[in-house]
Amino acid sequence: MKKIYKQLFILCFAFTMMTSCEFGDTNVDPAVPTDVAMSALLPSGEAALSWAIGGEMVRISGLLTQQFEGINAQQQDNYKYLIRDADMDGMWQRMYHNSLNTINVIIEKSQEQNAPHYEGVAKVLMAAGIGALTDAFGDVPYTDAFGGDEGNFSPTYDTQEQLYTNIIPGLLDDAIAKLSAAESAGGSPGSDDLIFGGNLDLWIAAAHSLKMRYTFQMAKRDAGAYDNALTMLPDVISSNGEDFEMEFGSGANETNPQYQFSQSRAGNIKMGEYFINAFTTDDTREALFINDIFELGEGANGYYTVSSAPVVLMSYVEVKFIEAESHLMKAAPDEAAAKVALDEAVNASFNKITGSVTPAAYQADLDARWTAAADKLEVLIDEKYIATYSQSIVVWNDYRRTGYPALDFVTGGTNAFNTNGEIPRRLPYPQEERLLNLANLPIKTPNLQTPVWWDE
Amino acid sequence: MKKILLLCFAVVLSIPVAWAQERVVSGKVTSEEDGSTLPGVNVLVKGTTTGTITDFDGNYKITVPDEAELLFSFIGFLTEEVPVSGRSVIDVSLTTDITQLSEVVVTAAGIEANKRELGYSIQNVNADEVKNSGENNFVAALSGKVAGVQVTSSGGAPGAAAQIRIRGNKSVQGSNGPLFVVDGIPIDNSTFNTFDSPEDDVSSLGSGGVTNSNRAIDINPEDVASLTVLKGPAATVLYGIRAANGAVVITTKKGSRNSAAKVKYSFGYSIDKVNKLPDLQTEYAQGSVQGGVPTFQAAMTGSTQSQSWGPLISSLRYANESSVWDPNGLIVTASDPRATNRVPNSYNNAEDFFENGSNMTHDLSVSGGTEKTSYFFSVGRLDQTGIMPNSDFARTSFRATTSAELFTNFTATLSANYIQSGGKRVQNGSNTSGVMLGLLRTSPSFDNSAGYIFEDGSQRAYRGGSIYDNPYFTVNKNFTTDEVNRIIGYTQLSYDAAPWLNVTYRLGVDTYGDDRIFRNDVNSSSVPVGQVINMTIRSKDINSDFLMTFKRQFSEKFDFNATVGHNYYKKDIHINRIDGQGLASPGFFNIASATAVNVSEGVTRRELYGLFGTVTLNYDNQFFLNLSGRNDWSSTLPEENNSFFYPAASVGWDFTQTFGVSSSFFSYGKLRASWGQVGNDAPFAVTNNGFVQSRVRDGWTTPQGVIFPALGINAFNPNSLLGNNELKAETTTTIEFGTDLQFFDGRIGLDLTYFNATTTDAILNITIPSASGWQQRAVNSAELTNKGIEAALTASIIDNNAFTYDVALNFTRIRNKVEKLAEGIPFITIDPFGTQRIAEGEPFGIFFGSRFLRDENGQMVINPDDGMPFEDSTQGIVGDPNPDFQIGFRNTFSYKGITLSFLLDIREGGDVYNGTKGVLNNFGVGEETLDRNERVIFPGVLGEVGTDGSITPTATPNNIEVVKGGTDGGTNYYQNYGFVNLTELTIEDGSWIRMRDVSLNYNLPSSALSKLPFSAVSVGLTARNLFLITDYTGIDPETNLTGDSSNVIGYDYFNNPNTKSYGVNVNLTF
Repeated sequence: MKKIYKQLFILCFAFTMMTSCEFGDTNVDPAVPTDVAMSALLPSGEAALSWAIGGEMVRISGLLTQQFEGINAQQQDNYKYLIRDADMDGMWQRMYHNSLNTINVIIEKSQEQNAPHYEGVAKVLMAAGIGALTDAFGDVPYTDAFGGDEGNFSPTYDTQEQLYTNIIPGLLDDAIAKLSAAESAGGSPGSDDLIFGGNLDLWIAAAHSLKMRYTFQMAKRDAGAYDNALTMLPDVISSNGEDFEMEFGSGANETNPQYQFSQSRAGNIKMGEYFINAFTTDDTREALFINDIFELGEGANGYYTVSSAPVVLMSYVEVKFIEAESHLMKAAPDEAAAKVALDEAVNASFNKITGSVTPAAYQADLDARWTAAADKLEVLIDEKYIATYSQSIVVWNDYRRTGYPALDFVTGGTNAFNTNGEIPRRLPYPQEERLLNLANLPIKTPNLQTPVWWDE
Repeated sequence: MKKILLLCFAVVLSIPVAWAQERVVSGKVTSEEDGSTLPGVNVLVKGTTTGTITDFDGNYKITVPDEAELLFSFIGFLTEEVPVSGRSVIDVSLTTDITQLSEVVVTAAGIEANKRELGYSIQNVNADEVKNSGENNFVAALSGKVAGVQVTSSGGAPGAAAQIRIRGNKSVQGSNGPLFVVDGIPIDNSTFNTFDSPEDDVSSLGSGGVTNSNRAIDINPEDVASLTVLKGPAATVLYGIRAANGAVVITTKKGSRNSAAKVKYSFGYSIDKVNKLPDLQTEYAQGSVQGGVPTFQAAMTGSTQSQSWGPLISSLRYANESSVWDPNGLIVTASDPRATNRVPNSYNNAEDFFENGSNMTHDLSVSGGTEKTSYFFSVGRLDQTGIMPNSDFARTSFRATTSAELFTNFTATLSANYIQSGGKRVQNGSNTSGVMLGLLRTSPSFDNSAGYIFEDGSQRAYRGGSIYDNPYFTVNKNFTTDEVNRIIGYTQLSYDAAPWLNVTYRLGVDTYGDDRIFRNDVNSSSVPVGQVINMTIRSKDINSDFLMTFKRQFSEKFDFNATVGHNYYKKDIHINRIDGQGLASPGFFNIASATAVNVSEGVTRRELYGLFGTVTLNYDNQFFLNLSGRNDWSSTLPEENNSFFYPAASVGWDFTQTFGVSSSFFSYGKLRASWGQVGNDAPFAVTNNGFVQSRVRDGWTTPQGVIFPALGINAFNPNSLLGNNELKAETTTTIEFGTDLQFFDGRIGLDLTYFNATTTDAILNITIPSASGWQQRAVNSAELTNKGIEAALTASIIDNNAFTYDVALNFTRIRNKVEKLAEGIPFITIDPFGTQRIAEGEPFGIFFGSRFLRDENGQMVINPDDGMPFEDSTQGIVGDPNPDFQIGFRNTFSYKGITLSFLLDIREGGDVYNGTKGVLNNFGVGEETLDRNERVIFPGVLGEVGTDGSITPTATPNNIEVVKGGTDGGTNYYQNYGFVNLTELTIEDGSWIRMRDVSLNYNLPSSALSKLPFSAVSVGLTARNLFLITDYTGIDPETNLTGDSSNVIGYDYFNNPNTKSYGVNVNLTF
């Protein structure tokens, strides 16, 4: 019997030992580090922003402006102006969480670590992202955004007017100042900068160019915007080589978003009839823009659809078109200067896409059309419609600002969210905002015909 | 030392007092029925607290006064009173107590109990019922057999997972699956997706990828001796948090001592067929309406047309011209100059695709024992081929359980179970390589089976190349293989230190490696450059239990037993995944040949300590009281909140005894009530923030994207989940009332249970606005209730020597409600497409989506422009997947050696999301679209569109006649609401009546056996899902897209279909 008692005693003792338990790092996921360097965040921020703008945003802009035709799945719905709020959840999440939050963390870290060059780069990226978002959605959160780690789960919205007149130019001015700092004690971007490889001058030019774009874009409200934009010319991107764009790679895990869409969703879209017909016979870019890859998953090497194609965030081509349109539309129009800038824009486009200058026959045809045109703006925008293909949502912005190109509305474009069947003037806010942040949501019932502030 | 001991045990136990001895009596206790010895019989000196129990061979020895009377009592037998009368050897044989329900059940922590003594609901499933169900996955075998249990399979693919829920869903995002316990050792029942990286398992919820297994499939049903389902916390408290959702307790077969070796061989063979497919139209060709005319467009016309809104196939002709797309020739219009008079064939590609699957099982076991040992060895082999070409599953299982009494009253048991399982898996669901996706969308004018690959390696599919994979391509080229090697083993040491004290220690391990190769061949639609993923899952569960059980009969009327125990549990899962894209050549799935290789690693780990105790008091076999409690310490909670205690209490009252009711009409009645709580901890690593390796993409480019390291550099971004270091354990409190009644001397039995379970502080990852920078946050806030009625009725309707007819009926009715989510969070989406939600004030998992705009009278509002009903610009609740009730109705007829048994399974209510139908109708292949040319006026009132775009219903009834399918060039109703159609139109009632299983068994009579070398022979026929009656228009509504890998229910989006089967089995015992 005594033996039993001894055993029992040992067991009782073991029990009383169990008063508290510590588990060390058992609950820490070794795959999720608690902190990483800015240089590990920057490539992710750049790639994610480029992906969101060069992927879903390019696609929706192309579908609404008939550069693409949706022939299957949700792209077919979107092409017919049936865009549900739930369709936007992905784009919104990709922008706010995957790209801009990472960029915002870089801004915070750069301030803590006294790294103005990182701060400048991150602010240019932030301005590009918020700019694309507001052009598509109107009012969007910025000032109150990215506060989840401090307990802010219902960010308020900044009006587009605030964003355009204050926040975006503020970000860019600040970025230019920080990028111009002589020293950046906390480090400067180098090979981790997938866009410019740490070349601060190019970042500064990109910042000035974005400032120009977001000044010019207000022209529908503010006629002075054209003149203001022109004053920015000296500092902007001055050649194709300086384009603010992200090059993807040809490895299977690093290809460009349009190429990947063509591979994993072949047959969802094809090139739009209007776009195909917009090319004249002399246009050597046609073979590089119009191909079957979206429809068939395979085909000719399109400029923007090869695996390593760049995603353009701001280009010399666009800068030149802004210059041309500003000259044409400013209070004291200068048609000649407009034509010069237009020719340069078109030439830059040919150079970028085909590697050669504008073919003479094309130039002659353009000259003739310019001369004959009753509304020279239409000629200009028709050119831009081709030249800025696959460059963010520039083409849709132009349509909303100018009414060109003169697209017909698709048949069957009437639905509960787009009751007049015309080309949508905005994207609906994502469903997650309506359900999770309703109090702050500026438009409670989706209506694709409600214009954004600069389009009013 | 004694003092310390007293401190330890004074609370629970009184130390036995030495007794004056006058005579030693010994003897053997046997069963009168078959003469077998009875171990564990209580032997008590009447009127005292002196007693002992019989040993394993039924022997006892006790010291008693000369004039004493001995009471022999044992569960299920009548108590015997024997005067000693000066004898020193008293052998007793006990008579079975037929009037008592004497079911022995295994409760938590492996404690055996008489069901009569329990104050809570518990239900046994007969091992034969599991076996005769014809299911290879014993989780699926539980369908319809237990009240309060709902089982859903993920389809009929070989090795497909089955999801089991006991008393509904209690956790919002955590697992709602019960704990599986085999011989006291909790085993792993995970389902891992092979789709993508670990983080994508969460976001994609397994909506694509391949059909996977839940790991309980590794248990060979043939090894199961008995199975008990523990439902509420009063039953499961000793298992702690892991049994927060109930427990399925399995006891495997063992040998018995003093018995000659018994060799048993069983063979089973069955054929599987697809049991239900969606109805497809076979009249209209691929194409679309062009300028008001349905026009044939197909790969052979150079089109990638996905839809079948073309002309009647009968209006087309084969041409005198060949086409690589159709061996019968090019298809042209009848007026085409090349046209012959041959009308093109039409195909029901879905019906043509499926084959007969088969299941073959061989099981051999040897069992027996010597005086001090017992053993059981088994080997089992299952070979299954699927109803889809090139799919299979196999399982080989070895089990050895031996037990030896090493010295008096000290028994060691060793058990090891080695399993190898795995097979070829088919792609599934929302995935352009999914079998059903390409198969069902195929136009009836295209024959998938006429070749799937051209000589240049490109695909022959109805849309041309590799847009949607030809289903034959995907099963032959894009299959996944998996191989699981698993060992479940334990050592148990049990010491009957005294007649009143048993000490048991049990150490169990369940560990496996699951090696998978996931393939997307070159030219597959998902990854045209080709992809191979090598994925290795290593899982390890270690479980240690120490138990002390005290048993005491204080007096003739007063029994006491108690158990205290300690538990340690550790789980480690390590997933290594190597994703190689860009294959060197088709069919060469070598990771080293891939041009881009990415590696990811996922770890989940958890540790848990528990201390528990339970006390059961039995007064006069009439009143039963059980008090239990457990404290857990969990590693997944913040240190300051990681300890939590939960108690349970139950009472049972056999009122027929108390009131002396002993009529043969009303032979037994017990009332029971229980209250209990059970805690649950948090998922792994949600208490802190961090950064994850970056993976850039969108919903249109999975599974690719930019996967860092890429572009020559590695990159990270903030995790999408914000951690919470203030989390605490969630708690489920259950109140249960019930009664067990028997009539006509036990021939009719009824168990009724009502329960009400409330989960508070449920941990959930709530979605937060992305504009906050993060997407999810872990909080303790939700409150869910599950209320239900469970009834189990058994009746022996006819019972004479030759013929018996028994019925057993299980009824389950559960109502659940999400009482509260989190502040400012009206809902949480749990499915991949945002259609299924947990919403405040609603039942679990309601369907939410788009619907028609209706006026205040519920009339549809019609678009004056095109005559189509308007869609409501806001979405809402459109369905509820929770069934109203479920019934399992077992009928068993026995005549001499022949037994016929069948189980009818009835489910009333429970909506199913038929996303498949939405797409098929949009594509013009759904049978409904045969009315495409009908002129209809949609019932409703016209709407008026304001200048601001608002829609106001008018009083004017709609009078616009339209062609429903828009074949005149007008709007197509089936396409007007988008790709997956209006959610309202895709929600269907999933009620069913099905013949779950039928078995006919014949046991050879002993007269016939005498001429054979066998001691028992039985042969049987089985059938599963013999018929299914349902209004649901898709595949079997029981299937569920995500199987057991998520809490999604009632979800049909190009799921693989379910099966029915017919089989034979032979059992020989030597």
